[in-house]
Amino acid sequence: MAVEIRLPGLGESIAEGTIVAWLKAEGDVVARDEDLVVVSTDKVETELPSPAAGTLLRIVAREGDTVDVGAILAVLGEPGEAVELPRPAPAASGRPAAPPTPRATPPRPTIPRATPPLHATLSDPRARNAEVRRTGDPKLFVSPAVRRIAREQDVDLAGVSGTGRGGRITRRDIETFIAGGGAGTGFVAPPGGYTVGQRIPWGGFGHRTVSPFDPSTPARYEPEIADGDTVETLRRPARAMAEHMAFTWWRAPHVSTLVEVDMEKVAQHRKATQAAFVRERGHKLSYTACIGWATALTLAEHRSFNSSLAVGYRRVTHRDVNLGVAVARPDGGLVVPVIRGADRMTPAQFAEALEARIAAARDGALTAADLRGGTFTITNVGSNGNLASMPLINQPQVAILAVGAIKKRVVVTTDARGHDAMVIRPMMYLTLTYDHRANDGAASGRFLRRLRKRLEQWDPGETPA
Amino acid sequence: MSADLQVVRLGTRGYADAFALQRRLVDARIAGDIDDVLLLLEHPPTITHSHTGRGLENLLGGADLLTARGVVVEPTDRGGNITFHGPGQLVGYPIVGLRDGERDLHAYLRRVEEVLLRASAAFGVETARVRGRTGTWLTDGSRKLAAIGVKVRKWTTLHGFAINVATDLSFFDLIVPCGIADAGVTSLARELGDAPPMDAVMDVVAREFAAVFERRLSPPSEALRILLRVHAEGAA
Repeated sequence: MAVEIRLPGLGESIAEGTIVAWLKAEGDVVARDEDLVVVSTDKVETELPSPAAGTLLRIVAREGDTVDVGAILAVLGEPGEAVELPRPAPAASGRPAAPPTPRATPPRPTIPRATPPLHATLSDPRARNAEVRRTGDPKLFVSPAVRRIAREQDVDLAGVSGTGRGGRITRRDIETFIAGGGAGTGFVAPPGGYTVGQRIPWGGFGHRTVSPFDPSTPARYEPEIADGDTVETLRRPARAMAEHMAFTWWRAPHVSTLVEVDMEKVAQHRKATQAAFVRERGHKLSYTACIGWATALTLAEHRSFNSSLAVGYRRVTHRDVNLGVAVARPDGGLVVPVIRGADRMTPAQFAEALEARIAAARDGALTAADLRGGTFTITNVGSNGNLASMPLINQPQVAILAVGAIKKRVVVTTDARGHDAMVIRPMMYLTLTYDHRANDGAASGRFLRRLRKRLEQWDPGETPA
Repeated sequence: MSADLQVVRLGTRGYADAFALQRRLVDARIAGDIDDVLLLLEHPPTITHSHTGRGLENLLGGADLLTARGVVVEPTDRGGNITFHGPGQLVGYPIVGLRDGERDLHAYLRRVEEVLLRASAAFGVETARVRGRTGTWLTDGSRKLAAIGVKVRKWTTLHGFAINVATDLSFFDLIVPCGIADAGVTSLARELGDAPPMDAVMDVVAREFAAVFERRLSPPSEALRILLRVHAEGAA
């Protein structure tokens, strides 16, 4: 029979505790009254003894987690016994136990894509504000630990949504808040891993100290190295990409939407003008240039995709469309040079700027200034014939467009009289991946619809509205 | 009926030695072998920080500076952030079994603060609590006189408090005490211009501790004396 171990009331004014260390691991046999876990609150650390004998089946609250009184810390039972996901139980009588918050229930995710980012689980900020209005003082809900973090990180608590009892801001809430807009790239382990007591950058959480019990200490995830395997330390730029991609996946709730575009008009335009274009300018008008230019114009109309999220859920809407184009380097790296003011260019100007950036990338001649200040990114996945991709966002931008290969396909068209016909058209998939904190499905739908129409009704003389 | 409290004065003891003694006494207290104990002592210059590594970021002095000043750095399992102990600072480690009605961690902190408030008032230094900043502070909140860091096992306390009597406060420049950067530290000597004798402060702290916690001061029991002797032999 499984026994749920909950954080007991440790005092009248104590609403939460932080897990310092588990003294037992999952699978360990535990005697009744044997010390199980160390919990800290304010200036006190205390060891909690096990309320029963059994096998520690599952640890629910991880080291470093701050959990409310009454929340489930672990489940005890018979070896091999199936663990039901712990459900909130009624508060013990006579004790002001808070109902366990949902976040205490599942084991803490590390960087799983399938799990919604922490923001998605936050309560509606309006509900929290209503709570504050009723009681007058938002600080009523704040523990010293949270207040200290707020002071150190210069966070205005009025902007933080509380998920604790009565809208109380928990430590997790403020860390999530800071993470949502904080700097730092994180996930960097020095060669040889971490040492206990070391301060390490950690995603948007700022810094944290490595504890001897740290579950995320890389040693735990180290691969076995067999004879014949080779080991190399990633260096820039591969290292930078690894850090950035891990961070962006962790930070932004990514949603991808796919649209199919008929590139007939663009193809006809290129066919009709390419020879003259090359003669005059010395390079081709590429499909990427056409799509990039059309995207820049569309971004100028749909500015919420030409934006960034700053600390405190402030949306920064960029005046200029600075379009980044991902370019593979011959040595295997990936760079994203930026074309500034792309929305004020003609297709020919855009093509010329793009050509120059690609050449510079190939020659390793890009400067730091060429790579900075992008507001949106395009990545061309079609160059190897691939149809579509779900790219990751280039932080701190809020969206990225993946361009698939253009393939001739049989499609059904309908003429003005309503007659259907099968025709052969150059078709292409575009995937918009966007940060769902900054935009919703309707906005992304409108953006893609406008971009598709712009390409299908291709007018190179068009200027931004 | 009040329980017994036995006060043991250890003189100056190394941090690790005193820590080992505390653990020995806590085990005995949980087992019911001894009554409540209040250890009073001084440490040689020592910086302590949480064994989890928390607080190490507030260690400002480098290894060579610490060595030059004769400071050792010790991990500990009490609550709270980094702090400094040294000569002229009265350290108190209550090994107290909290009884029904006393089993509230924050209430325990507030009662320890009450002991410290009363003790410093007895020497003419008015101090106060500052919300969210455990310890005792000058009434304007600018400087901290006494620090608290506690651990509780099976509702039995260890670690405790440290009140600056005549501490060389320049040692605190090596750390950000308790991780609080915007306030300083002080001592009875600094506030009074003249340090009261350490023995006199220990007398007052013991008396006030017994009063606040409603314990009766009594001489060390046979069991406690045996434990102290065993520890001394083991440490020697």
